[in-house]
Amino acid sequence: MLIIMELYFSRGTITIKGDIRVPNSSWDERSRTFRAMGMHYKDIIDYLKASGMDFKDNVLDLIPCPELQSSVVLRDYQQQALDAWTASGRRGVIVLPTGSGKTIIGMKAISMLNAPSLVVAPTIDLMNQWRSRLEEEFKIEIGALGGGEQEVKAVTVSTYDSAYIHAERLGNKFALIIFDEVHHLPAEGYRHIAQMFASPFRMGLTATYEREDGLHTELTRLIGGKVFEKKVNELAGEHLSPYHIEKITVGLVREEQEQYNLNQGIFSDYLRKSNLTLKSPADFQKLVMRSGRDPNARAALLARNAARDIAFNSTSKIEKLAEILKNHRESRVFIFTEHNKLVHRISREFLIPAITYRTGGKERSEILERFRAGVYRAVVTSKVLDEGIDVPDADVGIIISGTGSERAFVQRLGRILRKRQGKKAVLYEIVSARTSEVNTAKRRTRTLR
Amino acid sequence: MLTGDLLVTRTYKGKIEPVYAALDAEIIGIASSVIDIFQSHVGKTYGALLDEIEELEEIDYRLIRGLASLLERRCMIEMDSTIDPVAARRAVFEECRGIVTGPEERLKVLERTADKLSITPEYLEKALWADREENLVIRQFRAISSEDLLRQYNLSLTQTLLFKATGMEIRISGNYQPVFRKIKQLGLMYSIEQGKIYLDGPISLFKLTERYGTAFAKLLPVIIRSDTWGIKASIIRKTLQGKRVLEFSLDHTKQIFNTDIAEETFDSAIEKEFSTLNFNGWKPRREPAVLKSGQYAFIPDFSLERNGIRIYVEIIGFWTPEYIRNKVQKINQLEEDIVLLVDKNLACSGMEFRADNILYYNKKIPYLELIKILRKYEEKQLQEEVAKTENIEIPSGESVVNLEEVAKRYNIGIEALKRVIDRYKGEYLLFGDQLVNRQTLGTIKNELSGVKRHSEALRIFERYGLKGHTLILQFLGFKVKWSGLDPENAEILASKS
Repeated sequence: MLIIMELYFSRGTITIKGDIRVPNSSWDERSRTFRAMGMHYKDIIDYLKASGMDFKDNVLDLIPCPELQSSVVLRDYQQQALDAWTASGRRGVIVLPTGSGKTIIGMKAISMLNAPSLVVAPTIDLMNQWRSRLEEEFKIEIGALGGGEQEVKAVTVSTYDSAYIHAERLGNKFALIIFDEVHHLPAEGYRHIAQMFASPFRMGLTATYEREDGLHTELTRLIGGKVFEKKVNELAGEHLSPYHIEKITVGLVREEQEQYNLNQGIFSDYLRKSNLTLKSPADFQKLVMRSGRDPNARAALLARNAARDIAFNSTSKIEKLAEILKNHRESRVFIFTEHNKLVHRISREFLIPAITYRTGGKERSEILERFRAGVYRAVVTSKVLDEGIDVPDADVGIIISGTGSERAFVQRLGRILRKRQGKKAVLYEIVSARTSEVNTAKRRTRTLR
Repeated sequence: MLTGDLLVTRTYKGKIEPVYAALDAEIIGIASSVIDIFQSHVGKTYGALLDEIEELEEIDYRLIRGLASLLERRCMIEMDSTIDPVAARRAVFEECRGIVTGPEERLKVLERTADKLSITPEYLEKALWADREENLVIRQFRAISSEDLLRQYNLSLTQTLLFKATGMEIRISGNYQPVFRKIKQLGLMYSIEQGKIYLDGPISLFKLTERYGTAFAKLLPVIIRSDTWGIKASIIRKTLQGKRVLEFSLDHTKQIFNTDIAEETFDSAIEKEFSTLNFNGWKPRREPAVLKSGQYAFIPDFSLERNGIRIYVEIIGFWTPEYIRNKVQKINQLEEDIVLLVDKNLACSGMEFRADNILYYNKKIPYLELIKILRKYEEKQLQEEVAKTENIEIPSGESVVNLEEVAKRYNIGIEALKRVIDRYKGEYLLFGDQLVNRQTLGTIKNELSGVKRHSEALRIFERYGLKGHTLILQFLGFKVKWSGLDPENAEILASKS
């Protein structure tokens, strides 16, 4: 009897009925079929076609899709990026600075394929931003997964978390999947999204391709590697606002300095006694793991956090902030800090609207809306707004405290760099002198120097 | 379930296990002081509660925080303000365009805004931040005993460890249906080997993945409701030497959980009815086993057992012909015998699907038809045993032969044995389950003549080891005359015939 091969989508995997082994598949005794991860769908199809095999393909079950017409005209570098992506089989990552219009490239790709598409973004704000841009562009209702919503449409936006949870169910419903801020994708859990979705066409967007842990190399396998890149300095002036960075060092007040020295001392004593050096995030993780068993390690860790708290939240910084704010009475100011505690202190003392991860969605978009409209001229925020949210009218950024992460820095810079006529952006960094923060600050700006 | 940072584990020679809270005086004391703190903070702020809990963390911060996070779920926490803080903030920010640069300016803004809202500046200031976590107020707390809290904590620790599992093997007895229903609902895959059920998911074929860990954790509460159970999970652990796979195992003998075994639940009234019926010596049992049907597991609703034969019964509710056809296909792959009971009234569509061992019925269990099917099995077993009795020798010259012993010796049913004793009717007669020598019967008859009291007659029977005295008395031509309730007063009489 002649058995025709059949391919099915089965909860994030492709099952192959009919006794033929295809690339990237393994025999599964449980189902008595060959099985492959969803992401190999296109390779399998290509292989079978190239071999002239007869087969029945039941994998994709695409959501019915209306015409997706886009009237946007791309800038030259945006067009180049899209062309490069198309040329690599409609797969791969486009690397462009924040503020250079990555969303537009994504939308153009969707209309080019004119097929059901899923956009995955790291935060709810960003997801909502994509949604309103897509609604405006295509004049259709956009589905959303995340932030309490669960509606799937031909074009759907999702958070990484929701896409991870629903991958088994939705992995065969979209022809194109776009990962915004794609540097999140290689993380152990999120990686499953790319692996379980069968979508043959994949696009990654980011301003910062490299990850400190080196995992960005995984992107090649997951969605195709880097196909296009432009750096901030290649676009500044012409497409982005000219900017300068101003670093301000402040001393701790006396009691703060004493407390700082005491705590920092406990921490470095422990490191010395136990022969530890902290060179990378991995070293630090080791220390955290050790603190689970070793009370001294935990005490050291707590002391380090206390010292950092003092350095990051010093009263001198607050005084400096007041001074900067006085000097920029007509500017739109965005203030970044590492800790929610400091966000609240600034919000309370200066009556500046605050956005933290606890701020409700409605209040959050209201604050951003009013900032854009000029009703508010300052916003203070912790890590939540590092990525992607458009605040085109900010021209002053103030970093009160931050990690050594280069990515966060570039993104914060990006917040204030969107081009506007006659705009000249300035980014302040306030750093506590004679503390470990000096080095932290150095680390995050190394590529810009 | 707890957050990963609160999980405490112990690893030893490739094994891993949570450090469970012992239910001893010391730990119970700690648990009760955490409970006390919650109790005493009803009406106070969440921030004050956290501060006090933090002071206890010295003892063992992960235990304390773990207990606290379980207790938090028993609290009703609310905002303490009659003014919506979001609206209050909006009013203040509008008043100053979202920025002030000095304390005096700040105070003026607050005063102007408070004035507009007709409240005092102090009240406004309080309302502004009333929705911050530390300013929320605990309205209610549902108390729990220290022991129950600790058991719940132990279960949560186990579930938290299972989050990191790449695969799990389980062994259960009873409770099959709920467990498999949950497995299916959670989207897990299984394979069965010698009563062990291996669980993981589609992607597990390609890599060690923690993706299904949450599903294992959710399955655990169902597993532990089984009569006996055991689990064995592979846990990925990041160690200083890199990632390693460790083994975690646990079973019902370790009494660390709050199992509060749920009452037996029946899928339908019919199942309930079935479990109470008496089938001519066939004993019904619910969800007796997991059977292997090709690659699938099959858990019949009941088994009926008699004389070492076991027949399975599956009761089918709503159905379509395809459904039944599939089911039949599935049971055809079983080595065991099974009867399907299908309710006619619950047909979703189409014609009945006919096959052996399918009984369609109307509302009530088709008791008689089922007995008929069971008779067939009884008869079949009988035939097989009768065939075996060919070689059986019943010793001659005994006064009494107990068939039960003979049956046991030759490992056949007593019914089968009775079929062959015709061969010995020259020497023996059958009374109940005993063969009695004709000569012995003559002797007994002689002994009985002159005996009047029934009890005295019984002593004679006893001496010969005879059980069926009523039958034998009757055979020998005696009647029992009862007077009153006291058996001592009963007499035997030779009947006239």
